[in-house]
Amino acid sequence: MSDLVNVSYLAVGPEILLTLGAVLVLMIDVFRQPSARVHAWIVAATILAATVVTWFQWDRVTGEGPFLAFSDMVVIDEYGVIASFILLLVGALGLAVAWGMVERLGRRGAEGIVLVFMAIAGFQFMAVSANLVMMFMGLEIASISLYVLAGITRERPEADEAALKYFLLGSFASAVFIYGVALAFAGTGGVSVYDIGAFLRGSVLLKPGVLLIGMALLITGLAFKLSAAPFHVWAPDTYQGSPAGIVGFMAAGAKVGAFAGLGRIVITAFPLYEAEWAVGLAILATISIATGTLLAIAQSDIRRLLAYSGVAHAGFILTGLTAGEAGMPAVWFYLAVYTVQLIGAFAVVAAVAGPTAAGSPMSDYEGLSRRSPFLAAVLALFMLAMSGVPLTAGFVGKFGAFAVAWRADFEWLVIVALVASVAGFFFYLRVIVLMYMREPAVAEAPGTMRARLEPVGALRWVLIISTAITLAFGIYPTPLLDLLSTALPF
Amino acid sequence: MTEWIWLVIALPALGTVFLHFFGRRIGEPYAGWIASATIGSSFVIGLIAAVPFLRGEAHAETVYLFDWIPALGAHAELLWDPLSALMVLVVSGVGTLIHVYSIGYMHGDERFGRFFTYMNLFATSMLTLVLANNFAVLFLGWELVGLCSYLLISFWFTRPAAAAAGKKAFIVNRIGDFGFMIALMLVFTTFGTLSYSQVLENPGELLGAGTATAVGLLFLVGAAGKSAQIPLYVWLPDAMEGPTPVSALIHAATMVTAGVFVVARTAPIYALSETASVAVATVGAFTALLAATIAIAQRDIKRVLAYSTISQLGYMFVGVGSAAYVAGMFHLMTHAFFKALLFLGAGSVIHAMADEQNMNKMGGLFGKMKITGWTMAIATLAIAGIPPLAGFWSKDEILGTAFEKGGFYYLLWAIGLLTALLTAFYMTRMFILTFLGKPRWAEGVHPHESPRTMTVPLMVLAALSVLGGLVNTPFRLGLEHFLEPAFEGVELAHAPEGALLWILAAVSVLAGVVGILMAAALYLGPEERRERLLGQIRRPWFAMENAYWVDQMYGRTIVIPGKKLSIWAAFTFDNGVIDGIVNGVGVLVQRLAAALRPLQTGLVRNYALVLAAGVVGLVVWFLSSGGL
Amino acid sequence: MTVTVDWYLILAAVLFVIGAAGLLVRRNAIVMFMSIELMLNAVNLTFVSVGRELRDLTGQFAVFFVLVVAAAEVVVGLAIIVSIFRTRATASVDELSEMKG
Repeated sequence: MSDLVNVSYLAVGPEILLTLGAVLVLMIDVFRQPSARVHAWIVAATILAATVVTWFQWDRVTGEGPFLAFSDMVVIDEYGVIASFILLLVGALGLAVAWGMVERLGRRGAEGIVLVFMAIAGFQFMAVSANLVMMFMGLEIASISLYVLAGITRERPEADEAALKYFLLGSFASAVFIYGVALAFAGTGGVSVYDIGAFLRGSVLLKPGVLLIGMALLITGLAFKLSAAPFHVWAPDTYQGSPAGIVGFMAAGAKVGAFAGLGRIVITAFPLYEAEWAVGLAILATISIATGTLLAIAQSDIRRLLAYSGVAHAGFILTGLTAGEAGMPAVWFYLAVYTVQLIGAFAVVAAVAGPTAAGSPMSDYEGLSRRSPFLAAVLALFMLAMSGVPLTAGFVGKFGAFAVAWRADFEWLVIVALVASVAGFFFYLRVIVLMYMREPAVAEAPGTMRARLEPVGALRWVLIISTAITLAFGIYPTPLLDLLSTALPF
Repeated sequence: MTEWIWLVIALPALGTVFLHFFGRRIGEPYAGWIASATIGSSFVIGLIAAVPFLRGEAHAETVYLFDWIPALGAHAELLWDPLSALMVLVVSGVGTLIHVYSIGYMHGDERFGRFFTYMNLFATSMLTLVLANNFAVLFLGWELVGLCSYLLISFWFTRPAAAAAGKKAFIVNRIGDFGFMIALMLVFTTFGTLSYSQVLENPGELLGAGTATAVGLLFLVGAAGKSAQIPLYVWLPDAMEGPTPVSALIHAATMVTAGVFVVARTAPIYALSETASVAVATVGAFTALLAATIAIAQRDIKRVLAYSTISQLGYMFVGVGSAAYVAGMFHLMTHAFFKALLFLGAGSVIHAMADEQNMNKMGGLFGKMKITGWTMAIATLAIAGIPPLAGFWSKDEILGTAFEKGGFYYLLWAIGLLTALLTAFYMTRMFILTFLGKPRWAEGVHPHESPRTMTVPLMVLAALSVLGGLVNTPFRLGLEHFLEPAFEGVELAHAPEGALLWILAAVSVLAGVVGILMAAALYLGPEERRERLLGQIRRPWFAMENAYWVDQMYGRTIVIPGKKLSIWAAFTFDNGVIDGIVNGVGVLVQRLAAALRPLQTGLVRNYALVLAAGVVGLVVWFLSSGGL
Repeated sequence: MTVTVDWYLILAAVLFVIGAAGLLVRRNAIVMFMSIELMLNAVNLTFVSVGRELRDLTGQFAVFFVLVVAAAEVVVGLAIIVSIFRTRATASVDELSEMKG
């Protein structure tokens, strides 16, 4: 198979469609400035078409098994297709949240659509790439799109700052990642995850040190995108400074893409080194959980709070990943439901702050239940879900991730994670208390803080859908759990 | 009827949803009646479904609803056995009365509808907890109960004390939950499932003695949080900041009984570990004594009752820790009756006194509030352990069993007996200060009997407090036969028989009578003598701060060390040490968090440094673990 | 003394570390960005030398991808830096610390 460049349009169908959609938006934009309605139709059609093609992939994979394409650059298996589905969902919800921003930015709004499309495609490439250089390409396609998205409202100083911080640190992390690829290549002579795995099984390593360093660098590069501590430093500042409408997508998409890549690397390429990377990931998980939980307690801006809570959640997901292949269903369940909660929570943030604003001080949330019972209720739900209260999908996800880690003999890590979950209640509860047990602070000039606040249009639907998913998979997670445990591990 | 048992949960849940959306529109008093009707229907359904057990002709049944999380062995499945039946009847029965009572009590509150939404949710959660057939559903109920208690305790959140109390309850419960969660992890990894039917059927097969002890102790941590035992009891006295019916619900029917219930439910695990069982009983005994000594020194009527609940829960722990599961559950039931009665009675008094809770400003209410007075008198005698009222039978069975076990349990029995005396003392003191003597009312207070919606529940509960104990007497062990199928395969401890039984009963009745007489002698005696005694014994600092607390009467009659202990327990230990630990942890975490914040300098170069350090650290770790 | 592939790998590693150090110590955004470019070129050097050693073209191919990515990064990076320079008339990253904590 590897002699031919086995072209398969099915294998990269979703990415091609997303790129076509992006080009279409750009082309139309050149000739005449269309209304937001036209953009909306293009977005809907593109996402729908990509989803349909992903469905065809799923059909083929479940029927005939996984297949490789493009000189083994791309592998389409259940793992990658599930990640693609989640990314499309995240992208669709994220764009809907960002729609207010797209409309308000006028001409630049169209660029926002293009960048989101490219980011989804990049993350999907990360999920389906069987080749580390290919994965680097996916990572960079997505990252560069996100750098620009972070600064898309460039008139605001915070946006500039957020974009530059994200860009400099992100490029650094990318350089570290690709150096890891180079060192893995130096150690094993391969850049395909399958080749590396096969080589390690069949040969004695001449330079084990080079490979081990490479492994550490690969994990670092992806841990940055995951915002796992200590590689999380960019996240709070970037989340705070970026336009409110797009932060949810930035946070959620990066987590899914990076975890897809990380899981594939450690499980396919380095199964023989599980003893090393499992403990390495456990250490990262511990630091992330501790740092994220502690710093979240001290925040006064809800976006920074969500950023640090995201650091802790990266730790929780890494906890599941320490179990290796056996942990995959739990990890993907967690990712699927957590990203939805994240986008939902940021949708509320966007509704409260306005789609292009930077910063969301907690004081804006005082008495939110009076100004908008709906927003307050859904944000409360997401807070409870993130803290892992039963009947929300967050509980099922946490329990699953902790249980697999416990079975993989990482009891100490689970205990740390449980302590942090308990402590995490403090800051999640604080948001709920603010919303329900404080009087609204309407001291500012009229107009800056509307007395009543209702989400409209697409935003409303995002909230309804993410609430439904969070509740449905909390009350009845069986279908998703079944699906994941039969489809994964690969 | 059994297959419809899910309605027991579904009806109040439906009530919650309905009242959430329409509660405000419906308003007073219909929102209250709807809430009462849903929980009342649960009681009726539970009663009908329990009939086969009463006849002794049915076995435990599981009611399968749907798959929930098969990977955990956790389905939406309910277990209907005598134990859950008893709990359902207590929770929904007492709950219904409290709901009805609340209609009168919450009259005029602007969030009337919301109150009943929470109340129904509270009942739903507790019913879920007791009907669970696996630990996941149990945990669901467990967490929801914690959440509801938070909502209800801080119901009047504009009062800072109420908001703080709600938070405290929630935080302390979370600490307990932490133990509970680790226990669940241990159970799951040992058995590969969370289903009762597989875990509790024969736990000895897979569970080693060491793990059983660990699981038992961890469940104890969780139970101590919910059931307010040492050292996690601190939230309960503050929880009275909520509306009084909420206190009644928390103290009598729901929430605090959850811990006792969980220990009883996991009896097969405790049967494997003597250490864990003894730990449960010991914690219970010492909590009982400590709380009773604190209760003596309180002047707020609801605080007396709060500490009394902690103390009585201690008895239940002694019961279930001595493998006397039936006795423990029996006391849980009788306590639900008389404690609900006491709280509702106290609420009636507070209502009449225009929200006065200080017993110093009461007195002489008996003439004004006949129904409340009589019912409270019955409850006082019941909790003091005077036969043939309910408290006597259940408390006596627990003490008897502890005595029969011998060895270390003699000590627990002695503590229990001392606590019985103290209980009788402080309850009589409370009754006298509230209802007898001269009125010491504040100006402008005109006590009056409460409306019918409040007094009828009082009378029903009073009847139950009188008769409730008769279901399980040494003459006729009705409850024991009823519950036995639920503890199949567990060796139950029993109270002694024959002459010893009667001697022990006489001793504990004597303790109760002595307590009552002492209190009566002191608090009904001439005032001059009290004044004189006061001058002799009060410590200067203490007297200046809190004259009432150094009430001379118990200074003279109860031995001085006892008084010292209660002062120490009330002030130093309770406020200083335990609050200090709870707050201290919070402060420590916040300081730590604040200390970490400056690390996030906002400077890109520093961020890059952190990243680089992380990379180097990870590389070094990988190299060293790879053996290089 | 023969110059083996190891020499190249070590040189690349040194270049990579120099680049990383540059990122840590410089405060001009453009210089910081140039340091990152240096890191990427160290990666390229690793790829080509290993590829030549193994007689495997993969190494040379990889370099093209890295170069393209580097070019794309330049475009975006300079755009962001220019935008910042316009509003603040400085390219020093130390001026950018509004958000912290």
